[in-house]
Amino acid sequence: MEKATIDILPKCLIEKIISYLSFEDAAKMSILSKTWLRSRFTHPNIEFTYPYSRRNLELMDTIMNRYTEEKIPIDNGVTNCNSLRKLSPTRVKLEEDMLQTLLNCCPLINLKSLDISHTKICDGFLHNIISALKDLKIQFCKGEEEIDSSNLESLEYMGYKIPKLKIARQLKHLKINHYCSGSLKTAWFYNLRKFLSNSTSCPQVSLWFSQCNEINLTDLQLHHGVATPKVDVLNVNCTWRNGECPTFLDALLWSCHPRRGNIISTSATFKCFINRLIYMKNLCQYSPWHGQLELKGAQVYIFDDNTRRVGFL
Amino acid sequence: MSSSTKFLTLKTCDDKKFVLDEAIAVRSQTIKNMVEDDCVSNVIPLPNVDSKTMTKVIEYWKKHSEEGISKDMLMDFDKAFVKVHHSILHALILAANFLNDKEMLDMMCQEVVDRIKGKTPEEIRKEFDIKNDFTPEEEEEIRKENAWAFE
Repeated sequence: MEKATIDILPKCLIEKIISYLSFEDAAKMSILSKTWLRSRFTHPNIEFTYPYSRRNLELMDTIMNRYTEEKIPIDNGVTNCNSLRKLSPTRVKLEEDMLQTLLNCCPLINLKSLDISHTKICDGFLHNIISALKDLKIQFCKGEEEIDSSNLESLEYMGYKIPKLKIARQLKHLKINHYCSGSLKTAWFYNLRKFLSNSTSCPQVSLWFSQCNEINLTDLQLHHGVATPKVDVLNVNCTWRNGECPTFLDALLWSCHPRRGNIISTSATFKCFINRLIYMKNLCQYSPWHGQLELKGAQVYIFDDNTRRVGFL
Repeated sequence: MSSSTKFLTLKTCDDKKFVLDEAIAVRSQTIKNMVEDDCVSNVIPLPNVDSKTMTKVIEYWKKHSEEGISKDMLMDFDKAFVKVHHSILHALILAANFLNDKEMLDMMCQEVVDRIKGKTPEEIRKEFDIKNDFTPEEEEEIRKENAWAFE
């Protein structure tokens, strides 16, 4: 009788099994036998999550080159696991030519999901692949250009500046986590509104503020011609301890138009916000600018824990 | 007669015959294609599957075709079904691949992955009878290259 070993499974089935493993586990498997070594380099998900160091950058090059040399076929029997679908580079420097290398060897047409974090993105990197992407996740990256999201279905962004977005007709899911530092200006709120109104979906927005200052509402009222955004949930975390800046709330509501808002702040700030909200509700009848904020039915709920939250309806 | 159950006869590589309800047998995309293309005369030969494996496959198909079976019951069945020696597991993978039953193939591959996880390469080789065809030098080099994964 023939000896049953998993090694006599055809290569395409070993590749299938490997595709279920994490990139790290797949790397471990390469030591099993030559078949497993070869199969491992066809892992459909390349994740670069190993710790940042010069040595690892070289290693990544080696792996990229393997993908090139092995000329991974697009279609091989039972599964299409040979084509790269998901790419998650972390703490690396992405350059255009590196991607070009990938493009030449892997059918990046199948790359649907890109998850970049703590990475410096060079000019032109996103431009080459964005048309095929469905899911894009950018976390704390530097140097990203305007995002052409015309084909994207899902965009998650975490970072220190408001990204620029080109038309987003397909976008079903938009999530922004934005950390603000420094003093706020009218232009910042305008940019936020412009960014949010580019999406036809109802985005989820989380904002972190470390300081606050008065906003010149007259300046804000001069900004016209941007469609009203439809933010579903707005989470605001205010960490400043000193100073009350009521106009901050006006500007925030104007730029986000949230259906619902959760605010976490100190009780002093919170009290200031409530007073301002009541004032704004009354103002609605007289000031058209405040009227467009649609605060008529707004309701406030206070959750009694150490952090206070307020909800607008 | 037209609405009555149709039966197919499957013949494994060791010349055993299995008579099976067509509605069940078409869980195999391979058999389904044959039926749809009308190239089924009386016996469907399965040159890559032996009778022992086919008995298991049919057991799986019948269970998954039972009417009114709950999800929990199926899950328990699947759990018990995959707890077999690796030689049977790998024969089932080959059979599921040949018969093109994606659901079954996915389940069997997942089982292999579950058995691999958390084991050292030596343990995996032992579990699955994998022959180490590297020279010690080659093995050392691969180990070095992937040291980050073994940390």
